[in-house]
Amino acid sequence: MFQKKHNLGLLLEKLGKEERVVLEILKSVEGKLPASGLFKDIPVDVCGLTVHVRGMVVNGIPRLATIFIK
Amino acid sequence: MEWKKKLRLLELDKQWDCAIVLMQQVIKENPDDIDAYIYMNYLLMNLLVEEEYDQRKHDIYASLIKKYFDESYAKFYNNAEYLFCTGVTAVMAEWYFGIDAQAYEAMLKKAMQLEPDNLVYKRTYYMHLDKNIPKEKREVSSYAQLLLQNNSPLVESIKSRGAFGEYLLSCMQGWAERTLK
Repeated sequence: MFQKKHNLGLLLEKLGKEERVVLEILKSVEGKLPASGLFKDIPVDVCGLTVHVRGMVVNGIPRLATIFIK
Repeated sequence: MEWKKKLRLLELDKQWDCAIVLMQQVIKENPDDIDAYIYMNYLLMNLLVEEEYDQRKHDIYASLIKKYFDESYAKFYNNAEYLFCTGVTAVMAEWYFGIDAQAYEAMLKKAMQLEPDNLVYKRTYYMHLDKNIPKEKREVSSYAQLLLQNNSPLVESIKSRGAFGEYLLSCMQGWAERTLK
């Protein structure tokens, strides 16, 4: 998820840890995801940066596959 | 041309369906080739998670990755290389393999237990060390430095694993840079 090509360096600098990035994104996507199944390139604001999120809602729980900043 | 080279060209050209057909043929002809399964599992996972594709094909790709994971795990569940590469691939989106985080962590741990001296597989050990403990911090820093050295045997060993190797190296070097900051 934290590959260089995903441009997450600045976000990591702001939040410090990968775990915090994931937690903040999960907070930001609340209410923006389908009840189940695939979601793709949902834009969310985290620390003033637009992060695009892909993943799947499995058994009601959002699972992140990839996150990136364009 | 050897299949790994053909596959790399198709991946670089983003000809995903041709790459899948090639790997299906390779696996059909070499059903005990661990590399063929490792490359196929990563090809499909990368496509589903990272690439652009016709969304109407999602379920086809998802059923293929499940099929090849199930088939390969049944054959190679005791092979360190398979467990490590497939465990790392699973981290991307383990639900496509039909497993949970505990299962891929067990795969990564077992790879390390089977080959405790393999520096690539020991990634799992170093990533879980606590940088607030001085002795562990020194160990982590030393491993991170090794990952950032050009032409180190560790880096060369990772690079030799095709697209999966590039992905792994990108993750590991990103981790190393953040660790040494």
